Amino acid sequence: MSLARVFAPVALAAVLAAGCGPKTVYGLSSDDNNAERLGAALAKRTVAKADAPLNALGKPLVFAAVGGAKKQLVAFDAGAGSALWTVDADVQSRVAVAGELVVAKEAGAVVVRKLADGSVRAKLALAGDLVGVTTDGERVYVVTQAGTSAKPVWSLIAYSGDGSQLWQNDSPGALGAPVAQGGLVLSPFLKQWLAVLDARTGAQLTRVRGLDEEISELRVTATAAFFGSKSGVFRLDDKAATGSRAGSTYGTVTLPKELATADYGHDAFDPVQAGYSAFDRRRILWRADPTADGPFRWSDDLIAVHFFRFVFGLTPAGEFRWAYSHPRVELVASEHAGPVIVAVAGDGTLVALDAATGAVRASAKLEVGGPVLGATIDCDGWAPSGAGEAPSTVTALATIARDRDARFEAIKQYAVATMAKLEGADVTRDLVALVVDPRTPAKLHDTVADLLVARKDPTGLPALIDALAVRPDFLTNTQPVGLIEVGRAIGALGAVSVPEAEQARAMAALEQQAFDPATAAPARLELVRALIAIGHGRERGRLKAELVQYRADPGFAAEADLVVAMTAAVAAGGPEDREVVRWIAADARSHPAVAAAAQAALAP
Amino acid sequence: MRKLLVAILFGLVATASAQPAPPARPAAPARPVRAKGKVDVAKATAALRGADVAAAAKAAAELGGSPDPAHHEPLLDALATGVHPDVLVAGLTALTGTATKTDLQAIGTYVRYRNGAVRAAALRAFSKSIGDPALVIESLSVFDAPVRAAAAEAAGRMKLTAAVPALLVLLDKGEAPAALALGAMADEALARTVAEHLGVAPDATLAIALGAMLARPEFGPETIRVDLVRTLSKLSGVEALDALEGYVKIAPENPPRQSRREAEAVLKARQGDR
Repeated sequence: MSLARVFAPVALAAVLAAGCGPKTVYGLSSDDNNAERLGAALAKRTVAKADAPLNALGKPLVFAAVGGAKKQLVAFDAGAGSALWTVDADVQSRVAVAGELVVAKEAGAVVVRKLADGSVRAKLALAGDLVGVTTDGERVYVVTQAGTSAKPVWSLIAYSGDGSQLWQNDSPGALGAPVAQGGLVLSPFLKQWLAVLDARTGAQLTRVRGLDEEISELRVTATAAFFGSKSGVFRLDDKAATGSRAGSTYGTVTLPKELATADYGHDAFDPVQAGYSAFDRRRILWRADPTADGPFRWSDDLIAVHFFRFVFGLTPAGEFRWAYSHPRVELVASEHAGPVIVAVAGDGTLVALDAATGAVRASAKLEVGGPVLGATIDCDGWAPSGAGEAPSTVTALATIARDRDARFEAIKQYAVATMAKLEGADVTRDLVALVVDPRTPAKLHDTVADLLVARKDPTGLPALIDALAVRPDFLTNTQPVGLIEVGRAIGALGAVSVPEAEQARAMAALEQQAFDPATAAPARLELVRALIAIGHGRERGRLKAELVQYRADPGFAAEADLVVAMTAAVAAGGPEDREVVRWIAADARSHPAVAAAAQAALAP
Repeated sequence: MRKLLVAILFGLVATASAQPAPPARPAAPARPVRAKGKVDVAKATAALRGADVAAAAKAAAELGGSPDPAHHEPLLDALATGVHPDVLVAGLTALTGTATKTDLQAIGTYVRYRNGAVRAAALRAFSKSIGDPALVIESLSVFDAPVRAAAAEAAGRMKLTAAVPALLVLLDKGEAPAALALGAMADEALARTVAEHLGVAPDATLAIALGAMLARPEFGPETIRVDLVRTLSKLSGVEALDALEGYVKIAPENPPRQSRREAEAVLKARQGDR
């Protein structure tokens, strides 16, 4: 049970006891979760039959708030790839769009603009701090917080498009940012209730009380409305009157832990999220199909997660499907529009990613004079004509893994773990590239190294062999990198079948590095172990020669694990092999440690 | 057993692609170990087979240094069956002046040995006898300084022009053996190339290279000698003064040389530098 659920009634009782005016429609006691009343309210609602933009033009539009020296609001037609209009505006909240209206807080007032040209239609003075603003195209709804800290008052005020106040509801308890749809205003209250109001009068038609989780996030599309929390999403339908997850059309997704901080929507009670913020860069992007009586159904059984510069296509169970890595700059806004996921980057780049494959189906550039701070994307149902080319998942993941931004360590871990589950030589090659790159962070390096060993993909052997091709060179100051990790990865392939020619190539490459004087002892050990694992006995000739040549060398004897591995491998051979080991064990010139290892290797 | 081990190690030479290509070893007849001259072969052989490293090293030096190829046989057996690095260094060093074609195969197995001292000794012995250019050039790029020094020495001795690019890199890295090698092989064109490394190579190393050129009596013509003296005059450090002094000592007074006069003038002017 959330803290809000525990304390909200107490807090509300206290503020009510302190005395509030008659305009208060919010209260502790109400006919909550009344199926009949909710059904009647929803029956009054007018919604579109198909997904479409909420704006009156019916075009896929993006409204971008631009910062910098010249603050602007840009309305961009994503379908046409050109700006609809650009106006000077210091946008300080999310931009709400519906019908002919474009509404946002600018400087100290809420400004209502005309969709057609961006001109100002009305300015609404704010009586307190803005909590949220929305519009249904006919009216504008503004929630503010005023009063004192001891006696705060939240107000939901409805205005006409021309700025005339139509009605006002006050509340002694916290109201969140509302949404409006088809004659209804949905107003979250104390994170526990969702008041369903008549948009025309402000009268409460019914109220949903969340029994299992708080109500802090709202979303409307042309066809449906949803509410919920960080935990999941409820469809606002007749079943929502149960107030419970089990009884409602409720959906939740399981995210990989690295992406688990992403939210289904904006927190309507968080003043920071009343405007564009970093929360917009870490979101679950989803749509839901209508169902008659069935459970919640995520559209196409796919969701996406926008995480700063990256977008991941996932199943609701969290299984990876595709990845998109936006070059250089962060995506500051994103929305699941149905066929595509639309995202806007800080430099004004707009991309439309195929929701099923991640292919870039459309891209455009907003001509902006400063950074895009955030954007409202009203593109529902937009299906760009371009099919796009499905991106290489491996390439996208490798790009993410190689990203130099230190903030994304967890995402890089996720990317490499996901890569490692994929088959193919390219995957191994990309993982090896990460291992041998000195700029790869240590933790990520270790993860990749372990994944390389664990994947045991014989198709990746050529990539591993190639990684051994770098020769030490004092003149160019070149040193092979990642020999230990590559050695371990090749060694792990000893248990799987590899083509004979590849085995021979691998052995040659391993021998060359293992017995190079410049190779450090730890690397030599792993390379020899790999040689033994993949050689399946063919390596004994070389190992015998090395043992004989170095058996009296204290430097060799000091590499105790190597000596043990080599003597054991040779002793595991035929009578001639064992005879060599026996001779090393017995000859006076053998270093005592080597002789002892040889003796031990001969033990039954 | 020993023959088996010898075969194993020589087999390594035959199969390892990274090994140099030594001259084909003639079918090695089993030659009796005979004592000749002052070398007590039987005693030395016994020492080589014992656990006393110092005694074995002494024996290896005696056997390897013997001009009688037959005396090398016990040492070759020791090389083929693995002995202490001190013994290897002693034996390989001794073989440097005496190695026969038969010895080279055994020596060749040590030119990539992991112990730098052993490797350098093998390289010296091998390159002095056979002068494998590829091996010398390869050895210039290894991380072991003694090996690079041995390779540079061989390159200079062999006047191995193919090694010049590598030697110039080493010159820039401040390696004196490379400077000496360049000094030993430089003609007028190479001398000018080396002089152009003024400001890139350390002054001391460049001075060694230029000094080595001027120290060669046949090095010339006079115009390049003058240029080198002038380049040396621009270098800081005692190495430049040493090079100029060395040149003044070997340069004939007559007929008079401008280069000598300029060298003397520089030395006089920089008397206080020492």
